[in-house]
Amino acid sequence: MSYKKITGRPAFLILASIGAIFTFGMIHIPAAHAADCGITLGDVAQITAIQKDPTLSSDEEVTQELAVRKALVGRTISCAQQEVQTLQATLSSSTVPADVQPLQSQLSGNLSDAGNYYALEMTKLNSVGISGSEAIAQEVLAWRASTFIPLSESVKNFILWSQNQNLFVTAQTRMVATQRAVSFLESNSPDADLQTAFDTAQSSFDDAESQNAQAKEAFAQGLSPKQSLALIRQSLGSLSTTYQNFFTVSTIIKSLLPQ
Amino acid sequence: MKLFDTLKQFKKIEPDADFTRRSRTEILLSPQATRRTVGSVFTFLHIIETGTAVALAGFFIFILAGSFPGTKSISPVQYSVIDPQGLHAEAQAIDMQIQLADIQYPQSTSTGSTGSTVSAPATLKNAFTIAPAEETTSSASTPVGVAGEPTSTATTTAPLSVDQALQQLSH
Repeated sequence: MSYKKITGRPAFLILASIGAIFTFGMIHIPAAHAADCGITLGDVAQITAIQKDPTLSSDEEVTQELAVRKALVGRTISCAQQEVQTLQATLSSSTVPADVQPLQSQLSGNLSDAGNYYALEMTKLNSVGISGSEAIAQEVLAWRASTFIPLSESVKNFILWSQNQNLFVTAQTRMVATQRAVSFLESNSPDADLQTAFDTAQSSFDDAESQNAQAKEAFAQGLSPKQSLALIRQSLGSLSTTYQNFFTVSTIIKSLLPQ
Repeated sequence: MKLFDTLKQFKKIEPDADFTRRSRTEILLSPQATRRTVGSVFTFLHIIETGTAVALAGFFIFILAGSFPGTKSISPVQYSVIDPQGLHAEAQAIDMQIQLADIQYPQSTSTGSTGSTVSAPATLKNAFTIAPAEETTSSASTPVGVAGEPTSTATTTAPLSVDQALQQLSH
């Protein structure tokens, strides 16, 4: 029986899955603090232009500068609110195991708090002068650096981790099938290379699963985004090593099977 | 000849009308269920018999052919184990996730290591001073937004990030 007859559809499905993962990953992990708001240096330069305009009286200068500053700070905060909403929507659409759903809800709640913070700052903007608008900009900037950016990175890491779970399920399935094949071949004609290659694959997969579980714990324990991302990268690295070992096992099995 | 005439008259023989009506009624009202049930059972058994024969024939054909479609799923060595396309596709999916993680990593380390408001402005200042130095004649140490009249359209129309905009509007 020719096996080539059945390769078309599974291969298509796998490639389609990759495409979906890639598309989902590239599009749905927004770079929160790197997004632009459509505000340019040219917009900001309007402030300097007003300050240097000799035709304006002192009152006119203050009035116009305040109006421009308020408009620009308001647009920036609105943009930041949009970032929160995008991130929250992406988080909510992520499929996660049941035991991780409380964590997903907690992160979503933290993003809601961030949205409320921006709304509060926006309200404050209505009743301030030029120095007040500068203070709000400084305050929001500082808050983002200390609170929001770590939160957004945690959320993005969480989304990345949730996407990885399908890869682990697939690898687990392959591991079981490989183990059965190796056991069968070893029982008929023991091959030291095959057993060694499989043991190496099993070992690296165990490492990957352990690191994947640690990454989940890192979220639960509230560790820094840097730590959780490091664990995610380690787990993916171990998973990649596992597949290199799968290739080795596959090559040996093919050499043992009758041609 | 007389005999033939007599025989021809037999054609005219008809049953009594009342007898005909009564007989028809009795026939129509006579129970048919038993006969129908027996017929259904025979039909069912016949179907079973035919189905069994077909199944047995198929089974023997598979035995003679040496394989059947189910052997793949119960085979000790599944094709997926040695399928290079499947392996490659799955490995590629992992590589893509690694790339995504790598994209996030520099952001995480840059902000995670500093975690203060000082780091962002410092980074921004570098970003701001490099562009004018390449495209304008203004001082490399002076941000365009603060320097006054920007001379490059590309620089002034480039969108700012939230943090960059807040940095510009905070003084």
